[in-house]
Amino acid sequence: MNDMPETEPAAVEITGLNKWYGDYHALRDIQLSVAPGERIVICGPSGSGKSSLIRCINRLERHDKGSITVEGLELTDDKKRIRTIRREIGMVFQHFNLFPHMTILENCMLAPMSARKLTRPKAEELARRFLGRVHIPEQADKYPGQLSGGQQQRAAIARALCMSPRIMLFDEPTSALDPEIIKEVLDTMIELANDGMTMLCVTHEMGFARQIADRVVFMDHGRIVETAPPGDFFTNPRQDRTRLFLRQLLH
Amino acid sequence: MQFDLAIILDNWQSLAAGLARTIGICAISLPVGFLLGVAIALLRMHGGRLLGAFAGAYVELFRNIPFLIQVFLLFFVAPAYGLRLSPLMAAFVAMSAYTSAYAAEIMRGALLSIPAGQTEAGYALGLGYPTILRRVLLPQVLGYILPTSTNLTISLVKESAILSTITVPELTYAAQNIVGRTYSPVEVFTAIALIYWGLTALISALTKRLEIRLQPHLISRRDN
Repeated sequence: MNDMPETEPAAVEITGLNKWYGDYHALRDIQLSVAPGERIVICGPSGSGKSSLIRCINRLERHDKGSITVEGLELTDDKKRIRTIRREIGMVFQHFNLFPHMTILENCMLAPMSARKLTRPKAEELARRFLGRVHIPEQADKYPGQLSGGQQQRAAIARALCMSPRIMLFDEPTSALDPEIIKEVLDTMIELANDGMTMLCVTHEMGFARQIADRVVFMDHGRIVETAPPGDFFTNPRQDRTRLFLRQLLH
Repeated sequence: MQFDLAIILDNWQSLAAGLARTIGICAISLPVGFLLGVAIALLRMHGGRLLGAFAGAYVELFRNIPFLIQVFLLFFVAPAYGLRLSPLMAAFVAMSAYTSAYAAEIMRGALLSIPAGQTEAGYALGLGYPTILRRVLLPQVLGYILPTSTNLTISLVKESAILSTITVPELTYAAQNIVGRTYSPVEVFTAIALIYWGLTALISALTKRLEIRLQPHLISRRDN
């Protein structure tokens, strides 16, 4: 998984990444290379830096040291470059963050029209196609508040997909959902993974990790403690800290 | 003491002209003040240290001095420093500035009440802040600010009576003129009290309808 051909740049290349919130050292010397099409699941206890890490990749958080390169383009303070990179990266949030004053369709059309300069009919066609793909085409003209949590999260996934991103970030996409609804969102994510999307998911859904992850990254105290394919990670973790975490997760 | 309706009927044209002037002044300076308020609020929130401090001082200045004194400063004191305005011009400037200070605070509070996730979602989609502001934040803010803005609009319509002190020929000034000619304060002041009340009641009713129109997502949720 790690040995990719020299010519193809990594989807995401993170080296020596450090981040502080004031005195709090949130990310410590993170190294992570994600190949195109690779599916990474990031897990770890709360406060371990998982969310901070993926939020650095699309610059919702500014990193303090080290480098992040997305498809060969390094993240700097250059606003234009940040926006270019953000348009290649879709993000799904724990609390969906749909725009409540717009219908689901309008939510999906805003960015393609505004950032990609698509015409209204083209954007609508795109939006309807992706709403179909996440299996909620009939919700297009409703407002987010009228949908269930699972439908809202799938709408949020469709909204991100409408920008045709090459990489998708998921920040605990099922943590705010009722247990019986989690599956419909995970199924959507699995379909996406099977289509070859590069994905970085922060999640505690270990069944999902087992099923689709190429690698599982375990973090603690701002560090990557262990990185392994799910088979090894779950059955034969190398680090004591990982074993302890997995034991607690299972109980 | 009897109420002579004839005095009102004889002078209705002056009163109507005064009312029209009151409405005209408010109809121009309130929107200008609100737009200026949005700019001040944004400056205060995103303008960095220097501009942010300027915006803060601006708000404090216009909020902490009685409106009557602001009008006097503009009309009687400013000419000493070379700024000479006609009564009407001074009225526009004073009303707009006063409105903007309050509008800025209303706007700032409303923007702060919108969850950070909304802005983040916009950024994550590759939108710039101006687009996020225009398409995501301001439309949501409208719902929050309408009730408070109605309050502000109503108090400003009432404050505009103060403009009579610098001879702006608005409703109160017109009334004082009629009283001066007819010596009938009871009829005239009762009449303009009712006119002010009617005007502000109309504003309340109109904004209530606007409130409903601006929040389709909240209404459809209620219908559901």
